[in-house]
Amino acid sequence: MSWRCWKIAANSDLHAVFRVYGDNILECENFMDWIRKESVSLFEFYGEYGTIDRPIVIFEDTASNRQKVAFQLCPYFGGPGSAVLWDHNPLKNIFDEKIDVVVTRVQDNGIESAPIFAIEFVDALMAGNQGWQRFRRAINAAVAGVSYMYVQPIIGWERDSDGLRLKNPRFLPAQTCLAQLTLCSKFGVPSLQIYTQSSWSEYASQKGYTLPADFRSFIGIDNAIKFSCSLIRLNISENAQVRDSLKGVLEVVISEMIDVARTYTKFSNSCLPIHHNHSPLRLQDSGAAREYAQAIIEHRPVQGEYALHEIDAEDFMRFGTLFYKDAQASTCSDSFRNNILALVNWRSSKEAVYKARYLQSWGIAVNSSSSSEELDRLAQENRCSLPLTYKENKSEGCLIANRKALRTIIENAYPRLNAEILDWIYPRVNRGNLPPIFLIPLYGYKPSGDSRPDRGLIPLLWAMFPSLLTKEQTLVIVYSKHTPSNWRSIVESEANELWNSIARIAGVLIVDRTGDGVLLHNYLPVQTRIDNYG
Amino acid sequence: MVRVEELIRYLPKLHGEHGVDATLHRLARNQSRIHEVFSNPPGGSWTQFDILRPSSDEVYRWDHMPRVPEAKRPDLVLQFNEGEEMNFILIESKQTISDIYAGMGTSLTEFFTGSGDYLGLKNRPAWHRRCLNEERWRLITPDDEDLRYWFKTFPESLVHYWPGFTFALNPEHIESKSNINTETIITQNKELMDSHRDLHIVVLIGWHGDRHEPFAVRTYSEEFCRTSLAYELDALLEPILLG
Repeated sequence: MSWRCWKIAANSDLHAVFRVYGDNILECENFMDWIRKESVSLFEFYGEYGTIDRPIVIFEDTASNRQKVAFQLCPYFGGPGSAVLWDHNPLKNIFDEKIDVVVTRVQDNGIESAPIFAIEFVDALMAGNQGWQRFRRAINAAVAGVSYMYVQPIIGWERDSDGLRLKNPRFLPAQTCLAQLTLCSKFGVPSLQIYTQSSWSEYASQKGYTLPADFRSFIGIDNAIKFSCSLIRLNISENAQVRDSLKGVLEVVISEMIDVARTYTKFSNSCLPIHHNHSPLRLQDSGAAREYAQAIIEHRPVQGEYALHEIDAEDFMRFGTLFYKDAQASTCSDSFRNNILALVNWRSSKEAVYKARYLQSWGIAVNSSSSSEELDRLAQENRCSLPLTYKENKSEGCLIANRKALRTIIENAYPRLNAEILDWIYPRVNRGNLPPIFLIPLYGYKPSGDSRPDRGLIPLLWAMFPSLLTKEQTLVIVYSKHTPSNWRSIVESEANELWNSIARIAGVLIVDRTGDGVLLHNYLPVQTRIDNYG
Repeated sequence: MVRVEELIRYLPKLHGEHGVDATLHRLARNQSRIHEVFSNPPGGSWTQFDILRPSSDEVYRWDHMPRVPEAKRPDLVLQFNEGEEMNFILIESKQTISDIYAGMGTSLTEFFTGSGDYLGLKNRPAWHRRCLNEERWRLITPDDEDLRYWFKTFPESLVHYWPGFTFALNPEHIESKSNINTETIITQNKELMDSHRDLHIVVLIGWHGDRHEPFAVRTYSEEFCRTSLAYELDALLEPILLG
């Protein structure tokens, strides 16, 4: 392309103009490369104008009378720190943190629209809980009604520190996929995962590693192109044919997400029995993708048996497993390990004395001569009275129906807690019919500061179980030894995203290091934020 | 209807290091003589280096190349092959001239050649390859040692590194192109290079006029000037080059 293409055709009339705000120029280009794929986008490149570092790229829409549609690239829109480099801030009132790409429309009156869609590009799958840290962006988008795409490879591979040898494959995390499906279900807003093929896919398949059954036929990026182009065309003008096409694309994307979720919810490291037994995942070709696509087109919640956002206590009672949270001794106090974790953590490998104490603390009568195996059976028989979770092996949170026993445990562990908090857990009077409590023991702080993955954990759990993580039911215990003792003022300042994520979702926060806590009912809950977004 | 001229008036409040990186990256992308190996403007954390193997039509990918304390990962890497010889331009970009530091050029080169416990990209294996005319990357399996380590075994004498420093004018915007004092900038660049002998390329990027169009003023070392790569780099910069 000649550099002269960058010279300005100032009098060109444009049928529609969109702004592509990118975290930097490469993110803007990633999106523009989608539009440039004419065979899929049906947009034919017309020319580039403006300056080379932030061009205006113009296309003719071959699907619509060759109308000229322009995309103005606005890279580095977030600027350094909290600064914003462009007059219009597309993040404002919607996103808590920067996102790779946000697309808006410049309307004919010159006023810029709210975001139409947002994209997060991930080159390499992150290890373990690192994948949680960006999850707040998905929630921010869903609650504001903004379509969101999270683009990531279908599988990755860990190397040693010198990059010489392969270690283990990195699989797609089931939890983030389920959480995005649940956001689709709850809000009727597209929160999509887009899977890209990588050269690791075939290698993993040859080596017998777990991949979604139909991974070779995943459409991936072409879906994302069709989806974004449909949104662009619908933003320009309503069109029944485009809307039908959008529905078809959504159905394919959602079916790929369900395939991924189905594969990795019965996976050895991340078996998620509640979800795996839920209708959209349990049944092959269930029609769930069709229902989700229809709900999104009608911008309403998914209804009926496929509604993942309606997973409730009954589902935990039927398919949940006994809770186990892995907290290393060096990260927390002995008191937390002995007085909290030992009473909520079940492990069949533990000795009989441990198991007997655990069961007794939940009000289950134990025969002092019972063997370890007998106590295992007793626990399984009484599982609905014990802390239940959604994940086998290590988990992050649990549902507790026996609030009375929980009060006693918390009261014993934290004798300085005020009565308001204890009464929130289990009131002395006027108890009525209390819903179960969702307890989240949260590490929160590394020696060097707050944990980035943990900033995303509570939002992720909220997205997975929005019917259960309510202000009335959610209790968070921050247990790191490194939690700052002035945590209360940090919460009140609303200046830290870890504490903000807790304050917006939890009803009560307890901090192990200081042995006290706070009721959080005065903090803006997620639902209010949703209402504010309209 | 929105007109192009209205859009052009929509300007960022600051260009900074990102503006420098974006300008050079876009110039590289809009030509085909010099190959862009790596670009990492602020706000991203790309780790993939794509290198053209001489006398082949294949590009090899080193992914997962993290930042390391022992060497400086460049912000931009450009490659120009001449026969069997490989030339790499290694760029560190900063917001202002005062961000330069001693040993910058050496540290940039060491990202490729290694330093201390850090092996360097050259001594690490490539994991993927593709033909230039294909989109699809193929994995190089761990048992294919010759292919994975072709760069490591490539003769040192045929690989040349040209470290450089780019920065934004301060203040970064000049109202009129006629007010740009190219001679002064070139003198300043030469002084910078004299005090940092491990750098071969210094490029200043600024913006002028009401549309904030970028311009570049470059200075090369005598050694670099003698290479054909210097002509190629000038051709890359040509759309915005002054002086």
